[in-house]
Order: sequence, then C-alpha cells, then structure tokens
Amino acid sequence: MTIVVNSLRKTYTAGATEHLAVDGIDLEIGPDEFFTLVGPSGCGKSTTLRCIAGLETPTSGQILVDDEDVTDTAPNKRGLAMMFQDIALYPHMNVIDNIAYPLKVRGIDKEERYERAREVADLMQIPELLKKYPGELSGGQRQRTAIARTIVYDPRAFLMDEPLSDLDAQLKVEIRKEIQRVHERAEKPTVYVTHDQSEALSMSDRIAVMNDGNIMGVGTPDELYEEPENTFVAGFIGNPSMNFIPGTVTDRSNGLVTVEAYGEEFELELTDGVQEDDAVEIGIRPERVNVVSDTEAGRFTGRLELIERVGDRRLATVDVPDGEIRALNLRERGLQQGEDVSVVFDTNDIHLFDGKTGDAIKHPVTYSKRGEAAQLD
Amino acid sequence: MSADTPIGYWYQLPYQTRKKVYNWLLNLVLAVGLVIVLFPIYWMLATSFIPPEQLFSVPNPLVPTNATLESYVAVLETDVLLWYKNTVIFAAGVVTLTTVAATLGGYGLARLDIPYKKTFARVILFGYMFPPILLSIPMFIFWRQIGIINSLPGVILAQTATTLPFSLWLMWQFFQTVPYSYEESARVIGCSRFQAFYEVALPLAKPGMIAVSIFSFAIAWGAYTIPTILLTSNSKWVLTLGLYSFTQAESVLWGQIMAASTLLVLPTFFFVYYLQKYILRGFRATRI
Amino acid sequence: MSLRESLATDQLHRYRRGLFESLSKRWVFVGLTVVPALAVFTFVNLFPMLWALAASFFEVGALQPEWNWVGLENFRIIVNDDRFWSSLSRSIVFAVGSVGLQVVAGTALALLLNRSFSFKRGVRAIALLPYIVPSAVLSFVALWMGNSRYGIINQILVQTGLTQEYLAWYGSLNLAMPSVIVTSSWKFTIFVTIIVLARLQSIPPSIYEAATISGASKLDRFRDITLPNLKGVLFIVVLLRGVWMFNKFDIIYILTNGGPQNRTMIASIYAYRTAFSDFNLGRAAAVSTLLFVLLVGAAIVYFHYFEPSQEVRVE
Repeated sequence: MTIVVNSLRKTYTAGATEHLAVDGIDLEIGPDEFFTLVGPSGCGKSTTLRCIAGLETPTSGQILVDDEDVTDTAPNKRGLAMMFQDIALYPHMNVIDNIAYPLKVRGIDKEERYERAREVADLMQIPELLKKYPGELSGGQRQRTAIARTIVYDPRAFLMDEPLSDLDAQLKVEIRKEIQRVHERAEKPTVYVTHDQSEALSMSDRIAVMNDGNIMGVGTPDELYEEPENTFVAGFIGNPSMNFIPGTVTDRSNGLVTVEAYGEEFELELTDGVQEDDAVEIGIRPERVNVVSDTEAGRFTGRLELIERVGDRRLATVDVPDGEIRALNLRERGLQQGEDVSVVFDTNDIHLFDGKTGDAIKHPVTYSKRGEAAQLD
Repeated sequence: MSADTPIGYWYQLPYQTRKKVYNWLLNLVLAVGLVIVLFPIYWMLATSFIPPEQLFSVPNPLVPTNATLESYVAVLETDVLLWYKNTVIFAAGVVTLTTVAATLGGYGLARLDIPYKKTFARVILFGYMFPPILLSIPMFIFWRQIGIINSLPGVILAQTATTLPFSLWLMWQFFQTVPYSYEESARVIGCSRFQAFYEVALPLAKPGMIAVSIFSFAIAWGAYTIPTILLTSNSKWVLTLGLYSFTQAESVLWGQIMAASTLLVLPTFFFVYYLQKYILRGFRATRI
Repeated sequence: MSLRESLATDQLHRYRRGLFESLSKRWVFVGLTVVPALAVFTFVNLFPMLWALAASFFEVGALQPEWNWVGLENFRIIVNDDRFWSSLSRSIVFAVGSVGLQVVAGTALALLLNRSFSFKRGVRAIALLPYIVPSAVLSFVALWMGNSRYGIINQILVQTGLTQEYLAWYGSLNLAMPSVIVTSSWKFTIFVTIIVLARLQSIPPSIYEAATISGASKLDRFRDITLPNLKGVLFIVVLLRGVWMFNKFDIIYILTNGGPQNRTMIASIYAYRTAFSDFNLGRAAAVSTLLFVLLVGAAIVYFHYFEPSQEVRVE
C-alpha cells in the first residue's frame, strides 16, 4: 500500500486576496512507511494531510492511494483512517459505540461490530471503559479510544493530524509508543503531521520538512540531521537549533577554501561550489560547540550571557558580535554567567551554506575520514 | 455501479462535481425558503405604495405601477405619530426593565448561595405556563385599584410578565458559562464583591444581555394582548392597537394598514442585521 | 491636572470605593441582585396567577367588586360545557400542528443556514426577520394576502392554475385552522431556527470529519451525529413552543376571532370571551386554572417520558 501526491497545490481565496497554502508538492510514501510532515504552523502540512484525506479539495494536483487516483473520490470512500488534534470522539456515544462506528456505517451487524470493537479495546488496554462516555475519560483514555476507532476496520492508510499536541509530556511518550505499536502491527503507511521536530525525529522512517507551502527537505531522520539540504532544514531540525555564523570566502586554492567570520579564518576541504568573495553561512550544531573561560583558546570570544541546565547537559549562550552562539558540549565546570569566554569547535564539524540561497555546500567530515587528532579534541 | 440508471450515472460523476451540484440544490431550497420569508414583507411594502383605489382591481401587478405615497399621507393625518412615540417608550421601558432585572437576578442565582433557589427556578418555569391573556384579567383589576391602568408605566410593568421569566432563566444559564475565576482573580487583587460583578462579570455577560434585550424588544414591539386590555383610551395606544383604527365597519383601509405596518416594521430590520451574531452567541451560551 | 482637581478625583475614587464596599455586604448584594427580579416576578406573574387560582372558586363580575364563594361551581359549569372541550381540542390541534410545522421547518432552515455560502450575513439576517414582525402586523398582512376577493395568494394560485377559484383562507370551515397554523408558524419557525442554529454551531466540525473519514455518508452523519446532538435542544424547544402556542391569543384573535363558526375558537379565545363577553371573571379564572393544570400535567408527563438522558459533553 502506498500514497503518492503529485504536484499538489491548494489556494484559499479570502475576499479579494488569494492565500497559497500548498505550492505544488510531490510526495511518495511507501508501503508500511511512517512518514512525517513537519514544519512551523501555517506551513501547509495540515492542509496537505487534509487533501490526502479528502477533507479539502486540491486546487490542482493528484492523490493516489495504492496507485488508484482518489482525487475525485469522496472522503468517505477512500478507505483511510484519521486521528485529529482534538481527538474528535463523538460526545453522545459511549466508548464501544465510538469504536464500532466505522463498522456501523459499513453495514456490519451489531453483534459482530461489538465483538470486533471489544477486541481492539482489549488491544488498546481499555476493555473496562466500554460503557463510559468520552466526557468521563482521561486524556490518555480518550487517545486510546481514538486509536482503537482507527484500527477497528482495515484502513488503507493512517493519517494523523498532531494527535499528541494537547497531551502532557508523560502521556505524550506513552501514546507515542501506542501509535508506533499500531503502525508496526498494521503494516500500512502512516502520514503523521506535527510541528514538533523531536517527535518527528523519534517516530518517523522518513520526514518531509515544510515551510510556506513548499517541501524544504525530505529524508530519514539521520539524513536531515546530518546533512540538511539548506539552512531552513538545518535550523528546524535539532534542538537547540543550529548556530549560523555569516562569513565570506577569502581564498580558494589546492582543494581548500578559506572562510572568514568575525575576523577568524577557517580552512575547509572543498573543491567547488563557491567563488572568492561569496557570502556563506557557517552552520555548527550546539552539540559540537564547547565554551572555555580561557579567552585565548577558542575561535570567538564573547560574554557568557546565560548558562542553564537542559536534562543531563548544560546549555551556554554566548554573545558574539552579530548574535549569539549556543553551546551544548561543555566540559569546564566553573563557568560563570557574565564572564568573558571563548567558543571552541572543530572545523570538521562545520556545515557550509550558500549565503544567498541557503543551499548546503558542504557537510561535516565523517569520522572515518578524520584524523586521530581531531577525534581526540 | 453501472452508469445505466440515473443513480448509477450520478455516482459515476467525480466527487467534487457531485458536491457542487448538491450544494446548489441546497442553495435553491434555501432560496425558496427566503422567498417564503420575504414575500409577505414585500407585499406589505408594495401594498402601502399602491394607490388605494387600485387595490381592488384584480389582478394586482406584482410590482406596483404608478406608486404613490397617498396611504402614508393619510396615515400621518391620524394619531400614528403619537402611537409611534408610545410604542417606542413602551418597548424601551420593557427592554430596560427586563434586561436590568434579568441580568441582576441571573447573576444572583448563578453566583450566590441563596436558599430555595432551585424552587424559585421551577416556579419561574411553571409560571411561564400560565396563559398571558389570563394574566391580563387580574392585572386589569389590580392596576385599576392602584391607579396605573391606562398608563404607559403600568403597561410596561405588565408586559414584563411575558419577558422576564424566560430572560431570567437565560441570564442564569449565561452566567454559569462565564468562568468564576475571572471574578475570583479580581477579588484577589482587591476588588470588592460588587466591583468584581460590576467591572468583570457584567462586561463578560454582554452577549447574553444583548440576546435578552433583543428577545424582549421583539415581544414588546409587537405586543398586542396585554396593551389591548390595559390601555383603554386611544391616546395611550401603541401602534399595534392603532392598526385596528384603520378597519371600519364595512371596509378595511388596507393601504393605510400596510403603510402603518411598514413604519412599525422597518426600523427593527436594522437591529436584526447588526445584532444577529449576538443573537446566536447569546443563545449558544445558554446551552438549551 | 491641578492639585485641587486631583484631590477631587481622589475624593471621587474614595466615594466610589466606599459605595462599592457597602454594596458588597452580603444582604445588600443579595438584595441588589435577586430582589428586583423577584419583586417584579411576584407582582406581575405570581400575584395575578394566585388571584386567578383563588377567583376560580368565586363568582366574580367584571364590574362589581364583591366576590361570592361558589366552591367548585365554576369548574362544574365548565366541564359540562361542550364548547370548552371542543375549544380545548382545537388548542391541542393548533399547538401540535404549529409546533410540528415549526420544528420541522425551523430545523431544516437551520441546517440550510449552517453551511458556507455567499452573502451569509445578509441571508441569515433575512431569515431572522419574521421573528420581529409584530403578530398584529403579520395578522393584517395575512388577512390581506389571503383575502377571498383581492388576495394576492388567490391571484397567484388561480393564475398558475393550482386552484380553480378564489378561496376564503381564513373564512371557510375547513381551511381556517390550517391557515391559522401556517400563518403563525411563518413567524415562530424562526425561534426554532435560532436555537437549533446556535446548537449546530457548537458541534465541533472535527467529529463530522472523523465520521466522514471512517466511511460515513451524508445521511449517516445526519442520523448519527447531527440528530443526537440536537435531541437536547429539540426537547426544550418543543416544550417552550408547545406551551406558547397552546396559550397563543393575539394572532388568532385578529385573524379569525375564533370563527368561522367557532372553527378556530381555541381555549384562550374561549377564556377571553368568558371574561369579556359574558363578564364572568370567576369562570374565566377557572378556565385558566384548568388550562394551567393541564399544561403542567402535560409538561410533567413530557419530562418523564421524553427527557433525554443527561447529555454528556466533552468540553
């Protein structure tokens, strides 16, 4: 089972102005793939999902489910299942009727549909709730009911529109596991929409990052994290997000490029893609940046603005001339807020982006290619 | 499904096409409904402009030819302006009295711990089942005894009997949908109880108050039964009673009735247009 | 701002605060909020009602002040009066007929209005118009439109060939009651529409979408989502409109005054005639007491058999 989206475009007209929600995107979601659309709010990810579901009519483009063109098929005839942000359980039906409802509209008789509803309720570990109404359930129980309702029939694919966004952190983890369990068991494609990149990274087989109705990058979580196609993807994936330092190419010779930023020169191995005097962006992940109190030791010096604890690590924010640099790879113990520090990182960890287009030029050198010395840093 | 039968053919059309056709059919039904709603109002307007002698030459044209203001001129020669003034005072009085009493009372019932308030609620609802025409008989006798018969204040008070119970119930429900925490937070920062009510709860209850005002206005503006019994001299009449003066023993002055009716109905249309969202919001909050 | 002015504002603030403080004392506050409504209600609803209940046991003339105790005599006369029973049954026909029509048409109109279409604001405003057209105006317009010699309805019907001759809508024995029902429904249908529309707007759209995706057709959605969600409001609407239509007076009074040959003499008209044509206030009070008891009884039965089980809501 697959889902294919061909040059999907969706515009809304509000009065005289036309608003572009989705700008001609292409997607291909393989059988039993967990595919996530991620992006900031208003990027068109939900609209794309709703077009696949049939709840919105594409302005142009095509949607194929199992190679069958469903663009002109009514949403109730597409054979899909969907989970909603507000869960959307029917408030006037009890849990068993909620779960069995998709079977009811398929004309399955009462006995059998209750039987099957009970089975999936067992699977979701909510057999004792069958007679309760949605209003009487806790957040997690509602989610489990909603999941049960999507798996009670045999849909061709699962669509999920930010189903976890209203849950607290602990419940998020619990329901996330349930969703993955269901996905693995069903062996159907799942299209998952979220604004939370960490959710996307931890759940998906592949991710599409969207912005302003366009797809900025598609790939596995590792691909997007290690080799982002452009500054948008690089900045969106990863938390805290990547540091960007504006620079200029000053020299280019012998397969080496020299980039200058804040008066500091970096030599990178690179043969093509840039000319002298080109504007570039240096990208460096906070996870690769260290801060030391010896102002002579590092690349840039600046004031240590803030140091805070993030889980098992400390996050330092250092003021540099054009902004700030976040560092998560701290080694030194006695760092004090307000003191002058310098920032340390390895040239091998640098991403280089075109200053105008934002497209990636170079990604970090993989470890196998690095010398012994660099690894010891 | 085969395309042989009409139904089969219908389902072979693309979903978007079917949706569009379906939508237009529903719009057509809605249009028919709007014609049913508008035609009597239109015909009232049209009749008021048809020259009176043409009214009885059948068939009437649907759009009046040689329209005239004759009926309006004739109407204005009667006491219509006086009745109009009475109607405005009467409606304003009923709306004010109802809205103030219902808002205060609704707040008190929703927020304060008052003994027997459930009983009171039931009495209100059952009290509403008493036929208004029969309330007006005892009213006639009471009002005569205390000397407010045939007076606008008296009839305002009497008409409130038909608007207050429902309004009180509506405001009671409405205040239950306004979270108490707003007032609590006002109390915490140092507001007195009254101040919290006056400066926090009251502004939040505005949609409900507007719904109540519109409801009581609609009743007062068109009131007939209670005024007809309590207003005995025609200098105190409201316009709905005045309409009767255009019927004579043998004939009815249709043109003038329609002209006076138009004058009565027209200003209310603007209310509905501008306040419709409050009507819906107010009723929605009451969860009935 | 000068010193004097600011002192004056301070003073004003203090007075205001003091006023608010004193209004907040528990009994003052209770008195302020509940007492006006309670007083008005007692005076204009409760007293007249109690008066009517009491007067139904007396002989009360319209003009002489003294009451003569007659016990149950008023009730005895009424229950033995065929005209009372036939007027009561006409009230029921009128109430059931018009409420039925209003609920069906009003709900349909609300469903039609609860979609997206152009000029929504204007269209909704037009649909709300009838509710503020005064009953007296409606009655006169209806009489004119349905006039047996010059009425536009007759003209249109004959010209389009739907009827052969001009009909006396409000004057013929068989047509009077249906005409009165349709006329009054023109106005009060909108009440149903407003309340149903308000309820429809509070149904979250996502539950319709969830149903659609899981395979429900338009009809399924209407039957399984819309109707169950409307059950609660329809219950209240039927009760309110039922009571109001049962007690309706003005429209029928102007349209037919109970005629022709008492074919539209519903109970409220019967009571009115007893009071103001026979000048027998005691008996009129007894009629109203009987109607009231019947209505309360009907309401209790209605609540008992039809009240939807406590609605469970997500919010």
